[in-house]
Amino acid sequence: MTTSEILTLAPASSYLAANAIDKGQLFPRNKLNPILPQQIYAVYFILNKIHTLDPTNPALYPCAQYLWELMGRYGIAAQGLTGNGGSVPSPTTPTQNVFPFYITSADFESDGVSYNNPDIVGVNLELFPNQLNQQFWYAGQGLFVYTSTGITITYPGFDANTQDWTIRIDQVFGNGVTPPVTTNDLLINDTDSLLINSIDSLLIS
Amino acid sequence: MALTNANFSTSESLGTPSNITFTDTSQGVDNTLTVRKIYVRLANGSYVLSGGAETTTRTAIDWNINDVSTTLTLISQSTTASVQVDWLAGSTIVYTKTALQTWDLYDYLFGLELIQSQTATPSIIQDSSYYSSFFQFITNIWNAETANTYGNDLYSSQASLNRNQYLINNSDLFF
Repeated sequence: MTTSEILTLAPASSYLAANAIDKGQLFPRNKLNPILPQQIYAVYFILNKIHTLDPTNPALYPCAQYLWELMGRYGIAAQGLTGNGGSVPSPTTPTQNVFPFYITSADFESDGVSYNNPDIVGVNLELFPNQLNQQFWYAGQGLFVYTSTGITITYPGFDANTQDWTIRIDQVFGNGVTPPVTTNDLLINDTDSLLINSIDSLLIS
Repeated sequence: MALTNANFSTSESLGTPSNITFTDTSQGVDNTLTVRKIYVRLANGSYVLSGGAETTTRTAIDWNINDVSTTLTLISQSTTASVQVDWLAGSTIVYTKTALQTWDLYDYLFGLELIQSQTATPSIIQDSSYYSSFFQFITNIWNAETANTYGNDLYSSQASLNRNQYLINNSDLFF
């Protein structure tokens, strides 16, 4: 606590002490120092003058610390009045989660495939077109691509200008969904044999 | 050209509270002026000369017109004085300004000594009259300044300072 800070807090702590004494009158066992407010202000009165004329006066610091001791808990309380005692976080409006939401054909740009919305820029998305049963679209499947302003539908034949679409757009956390790889390998080891007779046929597609 | 607001201020310094610095705070320029004269009148009617001597004869202290400020040794204890500054062209007074000035740094320095005593010897405050004397001392300073600022009352202001001087001179009894 610097001399300057103590002197800033001293007047407030003086009247806080006075208030505490006044309130203490209600309680017969209250033992607050009855002249504490005057003690604080008297010391402050002298030190503030010296500090005004010469803030570097070497006698100031120890005397200011003595004043801080006099102020005691009222000095701490005064910090809350002068703004030196920490701060109250300013309430901020949290970013609203816009997902999921629905768009229709009317929300697309004039090209019939582009949908622009700053809320979806830089966000991993999954699309669920109501017109296609149980089918989520993910980026990388050739169904839509991200652009700098939103998305462009690349689903073959898609045209919002002539078709009636309702699409649910949702956020995917992580790096998106990679479709499972389907293997078409036919494994035949040394002990197994693949027998094909004249009646059976094997169709590999 | 003329001074639009002939005025002055005074100040003390911690190192030498006996010295008073006068500063010309006038606005404007008047090249016809040749000298300033300072009259420092005390509550007892005497005038103070440079060096601190007092005289019952109205006597001025010269202030070179080329010096924006001048420092004079005037007091040996806290003092309120009626200060008149004249701006002259030759022997003709062109502008004049009179104001009460309270120079009470001696009292503040004594108060600082008291606080230092408290920090070094906290038990000193257990003396029965310590705080009542201390509060009286502070109140006298406040009264002296208020009598000047709000009352323009030279005599009440000096009386308050004299009460403090009594406490200082007899500090062994009161503190």
